[in-house]
Amino acid sequence: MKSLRRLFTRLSNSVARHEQEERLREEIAEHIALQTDANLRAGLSPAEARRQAMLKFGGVEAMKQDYRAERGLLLTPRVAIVNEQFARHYWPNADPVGKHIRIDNAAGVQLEIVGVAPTIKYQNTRERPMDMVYVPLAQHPLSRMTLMVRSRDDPLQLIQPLKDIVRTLDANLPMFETRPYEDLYLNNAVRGPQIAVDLVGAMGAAGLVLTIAGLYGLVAYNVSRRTREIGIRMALGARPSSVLRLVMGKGLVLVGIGTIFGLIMGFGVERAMNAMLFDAGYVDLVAYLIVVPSLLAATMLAAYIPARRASHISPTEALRYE
Amino acid sequence: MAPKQKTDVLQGTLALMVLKTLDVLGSLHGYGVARRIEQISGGLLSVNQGTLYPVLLKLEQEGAISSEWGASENNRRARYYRLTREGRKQLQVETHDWEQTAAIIARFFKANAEDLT
Repeated sequence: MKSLRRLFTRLSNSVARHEQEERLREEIAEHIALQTDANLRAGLSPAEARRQAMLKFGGVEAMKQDYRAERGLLLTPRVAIVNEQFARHYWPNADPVGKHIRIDNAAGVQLEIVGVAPTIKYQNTRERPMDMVYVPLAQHPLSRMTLMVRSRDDPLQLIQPLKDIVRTLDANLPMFETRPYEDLYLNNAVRGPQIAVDLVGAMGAAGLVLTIAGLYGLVAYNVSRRTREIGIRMALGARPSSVLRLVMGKGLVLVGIGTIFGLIMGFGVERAMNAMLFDAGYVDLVAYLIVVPSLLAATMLAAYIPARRASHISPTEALRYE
Repeated sequence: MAPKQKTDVLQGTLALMVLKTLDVLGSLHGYGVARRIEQISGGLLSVNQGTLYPVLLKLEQEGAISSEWGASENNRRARYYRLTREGRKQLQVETHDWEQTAAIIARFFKANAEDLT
């Protein structure tokens, strides 16, 4: 924990640093001077008195490090930044900046809200907006933390130098799960939903194939059942084209009704999906452009082939059918 | 140098000693606090008096003590620390906690000894 604080101290830069360093330097000097005086009174030689005093004070550099770490730990007042969701949740009609909160529990440290951050997705892309409080690491040291490093070059090249820096701070501090941000993003935001979407897509494609097959079978069967009727119509002088129009019209009415229902439900499902997925708020025109015409084509084909056959056979043969 | 795990415990104990010292003696500079703790604790700070300063800073940042420049015994500038009202409250709470913990540990050790015989 201490080494993490140290890491933070090293990374951050305090404005009051110089003044504080001066104060500490003066305090140390006076402390050693007072001890030296005491040693002199005890009868030591001036050189020995000073040497003993410094020895008693202990390692100045190690102490200074602790001191600096401690200073980095508390920027008064204790502050926090909340997200918009938090602000709306607790102060629907007021500005949260300047308000005070306690985290952990009622006896926790009081924090002053100094800013509002946008609400984002924190863990995955499907989560609902949630309350979030940001606190400075310097005021809330953690025993483990994630260090995010931006790089203009290949981030993988940075891993070893970073590990070296951490090792110089504390050789016992393990550093693990070093990976580029793209990986993290893909895992947490893209891959999971992508699998679900692919699955739904595959089921949709299978559904479409089944529908085409079923529709084709149904229409073709219906028309072929009317072979006898068609034969009579032909015998009475109907032309093949009007017979075709008759049976195909019926098929198209069927598909038309189905398409209207399908579109209504499709838009409904799409809205539900978009609500679930991140950044998918558009109507998938391609899907409609594939599904609707292919169903129409299948129906027309299903009606056309038997109707054509029926309209081309001789009336006597048609009448003998069945 | 003391091992790392020890430092946190030591710091907590030191902080309590600092508060008590300032409670008893009023305003005092770092050296004075160190001497007092050394006298009473019998050597806790005999080598590393310097470790006191991060603790003083911590307490000051927490608002338990305040500090200002003053003249030392030898008429040089020294930083004097004093207990704040919040620090006095903190001392009461921590004294109570400490006594409770100590009592529990004492009972624990005693019970253990009896069980073994």
